[in-house]
Parts: sequence; C-alpha cells; structure tokens
Amino acid sequence: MTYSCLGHSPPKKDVAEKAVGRARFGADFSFPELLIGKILHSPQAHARILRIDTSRAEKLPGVKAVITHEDTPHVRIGRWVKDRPILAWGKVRYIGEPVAAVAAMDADTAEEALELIRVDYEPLPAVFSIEEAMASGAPLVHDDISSYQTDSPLHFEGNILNRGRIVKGEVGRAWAECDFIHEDSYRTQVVHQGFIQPHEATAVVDASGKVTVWSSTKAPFLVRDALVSGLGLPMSRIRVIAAAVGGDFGGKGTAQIEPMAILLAQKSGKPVRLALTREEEFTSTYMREATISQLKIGAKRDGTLVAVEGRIIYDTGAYCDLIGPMEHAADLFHGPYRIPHVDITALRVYTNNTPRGHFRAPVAPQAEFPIESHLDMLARKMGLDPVELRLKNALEEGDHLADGATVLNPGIKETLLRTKEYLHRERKGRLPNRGWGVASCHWGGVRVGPSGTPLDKFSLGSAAIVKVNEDGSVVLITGVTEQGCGPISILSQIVAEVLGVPYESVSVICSDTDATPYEGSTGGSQTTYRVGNTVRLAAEDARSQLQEIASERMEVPVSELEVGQGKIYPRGALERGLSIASLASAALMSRGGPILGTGRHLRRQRLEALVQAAQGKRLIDAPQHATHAVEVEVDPETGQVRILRYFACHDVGFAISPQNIEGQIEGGIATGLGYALSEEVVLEKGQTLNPNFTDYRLPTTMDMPQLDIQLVEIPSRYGPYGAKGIGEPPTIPVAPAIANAIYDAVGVRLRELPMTSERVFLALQAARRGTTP
Amino acid sequence: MKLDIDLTVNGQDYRLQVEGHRTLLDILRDYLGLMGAKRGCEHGNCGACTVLVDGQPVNSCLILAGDVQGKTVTTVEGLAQGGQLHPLQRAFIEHGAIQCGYCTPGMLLSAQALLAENPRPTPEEVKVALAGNLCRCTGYTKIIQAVLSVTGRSQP
Repeated sequence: MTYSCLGHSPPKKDVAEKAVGRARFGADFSFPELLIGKILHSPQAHARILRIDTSRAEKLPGVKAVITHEDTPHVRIGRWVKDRPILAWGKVRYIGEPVAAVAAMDADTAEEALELIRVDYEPLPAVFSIEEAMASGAPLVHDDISSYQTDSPLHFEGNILNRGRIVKGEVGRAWAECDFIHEDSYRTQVVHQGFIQPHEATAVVDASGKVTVWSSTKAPFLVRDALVSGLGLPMSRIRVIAAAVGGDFGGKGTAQIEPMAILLAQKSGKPVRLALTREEEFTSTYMREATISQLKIGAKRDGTLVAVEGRIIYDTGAYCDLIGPMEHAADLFHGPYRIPHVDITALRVYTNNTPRGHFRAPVAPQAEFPIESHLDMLARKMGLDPVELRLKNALEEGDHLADGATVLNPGIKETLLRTKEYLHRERKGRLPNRGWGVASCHWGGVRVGPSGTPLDKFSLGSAAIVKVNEDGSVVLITGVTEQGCGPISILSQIVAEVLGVPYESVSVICSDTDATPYEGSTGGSQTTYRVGNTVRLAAEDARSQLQEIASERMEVPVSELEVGQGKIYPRGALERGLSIASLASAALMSRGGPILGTGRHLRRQRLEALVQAAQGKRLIDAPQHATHAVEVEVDPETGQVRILRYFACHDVGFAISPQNIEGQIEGGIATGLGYALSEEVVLEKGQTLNPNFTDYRLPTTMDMPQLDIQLVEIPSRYGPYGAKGIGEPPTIPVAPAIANAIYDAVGVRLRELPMTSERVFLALQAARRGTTP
Repeated sequence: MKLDIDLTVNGQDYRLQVEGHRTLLDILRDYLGLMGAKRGCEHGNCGACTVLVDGQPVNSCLILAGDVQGKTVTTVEGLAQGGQLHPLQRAFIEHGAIQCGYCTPGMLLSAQALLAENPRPTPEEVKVALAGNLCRCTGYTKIIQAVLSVTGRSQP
C-alpha cells in the first residue's frame, strides 16, 4: 500500500513557533495586574496541623490573597484513588506538601508573605521505607483508606494501598520440572520526569465568575475533572487550556497547581500566575516510585522457561497518582515471554516520602529491570546465548499472557532477530573491560474484555471533528495535547491522507475543554493508536459528505469515486475530478450544509470486530515490543561506565512519521541512560537531599553514544493503518541492557539502580575480595 | 534600590529602571515581555534561559541587572532577520530537533555562539558547546545533527 502523506516525515505543526520563541507556555501569558502565586510547603514528614495563622501575611502590603484548606472544600482529589487534599487539612504526610499559598504583586512580596505564615505542627511517627511501612504496628500514613473514592476496587491493609496477584498453572509443582533455577532480588530508585519546564499555570476569572486556566498540563480534561470534584465548580464555569507543554513524560497529566492558581485568582479577583521552582518540582510533584523486588525463574535444559515466581513492591510515597490495578505491574514483571507457570504479586505501599505518579511507562522500568537482568543470569548459568534464550520463549501470536489475555501481532521475535543480526555483524572479539548487553521490553497494547469493555481507563471514549473550508483547507479539532511527541502532526497526516489534501493545508485546534471534544489524556503510548482511529473516522465522515456532493454533480456512484491530489474523481479519471475546494463551497448551498465530519467512540465502530473475534476471551492488540543492545566500557579503577554503542530495534506496527518515531526512541534511550547510570532523587527521612539539576544529573550531550535505530513493522489489527504506540517503550530496556553489558565487561552484577561509578567500583572491589557488596 | 540600565536587546535600545537584584532573565521576561528565554531551574544548570551578551552565551538567570549596563543582548526573538528564519532555526525544524520546544531557544543561541567562533565545528565540538543546555525530549541526537547540517558537515 502506498500513501501520499503517511510514512513521510513532514515538519511538525507546532515547531515553527517554538523555533522563533513565540510558542506560549504556561507562564508566558501576561495580563494587567497579574499577580504571582507562591506555595508554602510542609517542613514536616508526618504531623498534625494544630493551627495556621495567616494574619501577618495578609497584612503585608502587596499581598492580595492567602489561601489555606479553609478556602477549599474538604474533598480529596486524585487521578485514580482520590487521596490528596488540594491544601493539607488535619495533617501533613510528606516534606513538601502544600499547606498554604499566596498571591502578591510580585514574587519577592509573595515569598516574604510565605515567611509570615505561621503553622503549628505536632509531629507524628513516620515511615520512610517499604520495610518500615510494612512492619507490624507501623504508623499509618492514611488512617481511613476505606473512605477514599477510586475507580477500581482497592485491596488495602495497613499502609498497603493495593495489591494484585496473577497466578497461572501450578508454580509450586513446576520447580521439579526445571533443570535450572535462578533467584535474585533487585532495587530501583526514585526519579523525576526531568522535563525542563516546571509546572506552570495562569488563571483568570472573568466578570461572570468563569475561570480560564492556561496550564502546562497535557490532560486538560482530567484537570477539569479534578476542579469539578475538588473545588465544586460546575463545568460551565471552568475552561482549561493546555498551553505549550515543556515536556510531560507522564508528570503533567494530573491537577497539581491549577486548583491553587484558581483559588488565588478567585480570592484576589485578579489574574494569577503560579509556577513551581525546580526545587518544588523535586519535592512536591509526583515522581517514579522506588521498588524492591524478588524474582525466581526456572527453565529446562533446552532453554524453555517453565515457571516464574516473584514479588515487587512500589513505594508510592504519601500520595498515589497512578492508574490501575496492580495486576498490570505483575504482568509486566515477566516480560514478553511465554511462561506456563506464574505466581506474581505486586504491592503499592504508602510512606511519608514525596508523592509518586506517572513517568514514561509507569511501573514498567522497575518491573522489567529485574526480569531482563534475570534472564541474562539464567542464560549464563545455562551456557546459552541471552538472545537465543529470549527467542526461544518470545511471545507469538495467540500466546497467552499470565492473566489469560491472548496476544495479537507481537513483534518481540522480529526485534530479537534483528538484534541477533546486528550483534553478529558488530560484535567483534573481546577487549578487556568491554562488553555487550541485551534487553527486551513488553509494554502496553490495548486490552478488550469479554463484555467488550476496555480494561484500561485510558482507552475510553474519544471524539474528533474535521471541518473542510471553502478553499479545500481543513481544520482538525481534537482534545489531544501537543506535549512534544508530535501527536497533532501525526493526526494531521491521517486527515490529509483520508481527504487527499496536502498536509500543509491541515490546521489543528486542540486541548481546550470548551473548544474541543473530550480526550482523557495524551499518553499511554496510545494517542496514535486510539485517537488516530477516531480522527480517521472523522475525516472519512467528511470525505463521504464530499463524495455525496461529487456523486450528484458528476452522476457517478459514490462507490466509483476516488480521492486524491485535492480532488474527488471517477476511478482512473483524475482530469474529470472536482476539487475539494469546489465541493466544500458547493456544500454551503447543499441540503447538508457545510462539511463537518465527526468521529467518535472508536470502541463501538472499530473494535466491535475485535470483541467479536475474542469470543468471550480477553485480547491484547498492538503490544509494543523492542530489543536493545549496548556496548559498554568499564573503567576498573573508577567504576565509570562509558556507553560506546547503542542499538535499538522497535516494532512500531506502521511508521506514520518515521522521523518523529526516531525522535521518541532517541529521547527514550537518553531518559533510560539517566535512569540506569546517574539519576536518583535521594531522600533521607523524607527530606529530599538533591532537589536541583546540579546534584540530580540528567544526561547531557556528552553522555550520548552513537545510536543505531531500526524499526520493524508488524501491523496491529486495529490501529490506524496498522500503527502501534512508541512513546514509552524506548526507556524500558536501557537499564537492564547496560547491567547485562557491565556483567559481560567486568563480571560484576548490579542489582540496584542507578549503576553509578561508586556502585560499580564497590561491586568490583567486592568481587576482587570474593564478597558481595 | 533601583538602577538605571541602558542596554540593547535584539537591536533595540532600552533605558530601564530595575531593582538591583533582578536578573537579566527577569528583565527580558517581566520588563520587556520577551518570553523566548525560559525559566527552567534558576540555578544556571539547565540552559533554558541562555541568551547572548555581546555575542557570548550566558545563563540569563545568573546575570544581575547591573552587569548588563551598556551590553548588547540577543535572544531567540532576535535570531530571525527580515522575516527569514535563521539557518539554525530552519535546520532544527527540518531535522526534527524540536519536540516540546522548551530548551530550543537556549540550544539555538548556544549553537549560534559556537558557529560565530567556529563555523565548521566537529561533532565533538558541537557536543561540548551544547553541554550546558539540557533537553529531556530528544536525546540530543537530532539537535547535534541539525547544528552540523548548517556547517555542511554530515552526521556525527
């Protein structure tokens, strides 16, 4: 199949404004009398709030509003489990929790006002690690989890917020069938999304009381949900507009500062800009969870995996913003492999640490670092090549995941074969302190259950509008947010393809709760897959309206009309065609009126076939698979790891915009490198010790190796043109690939992230002494 | 205490009264309404606020108002000339070097400063020149390619 617009990489719609510095981010909006907001954070990890006295702050000249919990309804908000107050009441649960906020004429005055607010606390015993939180008699971070609203049932107990277990076959008896068994434990660290733009919002209240907020969020409709439930505002009085988003990576999908900005604007009667500092980013926003895990895997002599048993525990901090049941994490814990006997438990535990939420492939990097490290150790124990071991057990069409879902169109095998070829070509004889490592990943996919209801909340409704102007140009209206990954450009390519018009003639109105249709969130590596279909339907709807007019005018049945090059024409006779422009103009005078295509509810229209095909079973379409290979050099004197070469092969189903996909993979690898080697938010008794980019080290240009990226295209069943998602998977295999390469280079196994020079050095020392570090 | 500051920004002369503890970034954003330079960390770590002062790239969040008296400042808004994009801006667009765009103004100015001194840098020299500008989206690969393309050199 050849396409006119798909498979090319036209310049993205949003980048010209970004290149000239005119794109407006959340703090780039100016208004007369604009006030600056600042937040007062808790210095206590766990304490009862006895009294808050704001009187001195209110009297400071230039201060226009001070808010505390007394200005909010005592309602909890949150994306999945509603556990978080907008401003703390009763008690605080972590160092950094917002307690009060002020709006003043300028930032200096606002900061001075914060110092004048007096809060009396009565400290409470606190828990700072998974072990402390799960100890018997541990102090409770949340006293009354049973009262919290949530979208799916919680299995809570003590500080355990939720647990999930997946069981398949009979693990207990399966060990006897195994010739090799390997058992190990792992630890991963807290990391921040590291977007360069902190959270920013500007809120304005008009004379009628209607609030408009320009925010750094990528999910304006989810923010609106939180404002409705948290502030009690009706939707008619809230308009959330996603401004340009300076990086998201999962961290900007929930209401964090917007409710405070709005309360300050309401109370002062003036526009308010509220932007977090970098330190506030590291101490008061949702970050990726630390985990501890144990894993045991058994295999037959020929490499067939037989059984997996494991447990992974996520420290969710004082508040949890993650979606979904823990079965999801348990499922990822055994990777893209066919294993008949499975018993995996995943737990999420509250502590008095900073709150935890989504970060690029939420829960997956922590779950797949263990499995991919583990397979490497198992392969070595068995004398097998790690790629061959994976190939032997890689998921194939029709295989079942541990939860019983049937896998459609997996690409794991193809990525492994490409990696094998690459290594065969590039991996030359051994050099001292140099080694290669390989790791794969399994992510996402769209699940459909027996009743046809999607199992992941992410995949709920979606709608789009396609307007055709009288000159044949097109406007796409969608709730999707352009957070830098290119969604609005990819969706525009689809519109151009369906209508046969130039990509340049498509413009986009997006991410505005008043102006665009509802869209849950631009995330989950599902925008192209899910919204791409919705947009395709909307464009097809517009096209059929144009075709009807063309059919009448040319007296040719619709079934014999073709679309392309800006025209609708009888099959094979482009020269007889009528231009889209003339048809759209004619539409103004036609019975149907102006051309307005709509597409909605992808589920009903596209996935019904999938549900029927499932015949009562659970199916997973478009799983996202990849394999990475990396060559490292380890300095035996310092432990420093240098990345020499990096290969990544991803199955993308169908590459609608190859350059964009490469960009996602390159950026994902960079983020993975930081996770693997340098990044860690260090907390000591709940206090964040390195809340800045000096001590929290993001990869720079100097850390990037040469990248070799290959795409494979195993089409998905129901994604637009066979496309699958790509945003999240590239980060997942990086850390285990590097851990495996370090072992290959110097024979030491790192089971804890990040693999800093110090950790590698200590492991080398321990190996020389014959002890474990 | 307020200072009288004379400075030239993107070819335009300004006389401002500015409190002494204000930074060049504050002057650009809050006094002149030039929002191209971004606040990312205010510690000089991220480079999102990079501008050129007398042709040299600086973190404008670390430069105090008094230090820019009589200086010539170039921000991202001053790169395009006569309605034409600067070759670096075109290259960033064509090479897919822009994702979220928050680091882009700083990246462009660091790259511009490099090319003004060294019109044909090696890939390694480009990496060194951009090492103070953090980007979380791109993995830097396409940014480095874009800068090299302007010099006529091929990919790293």
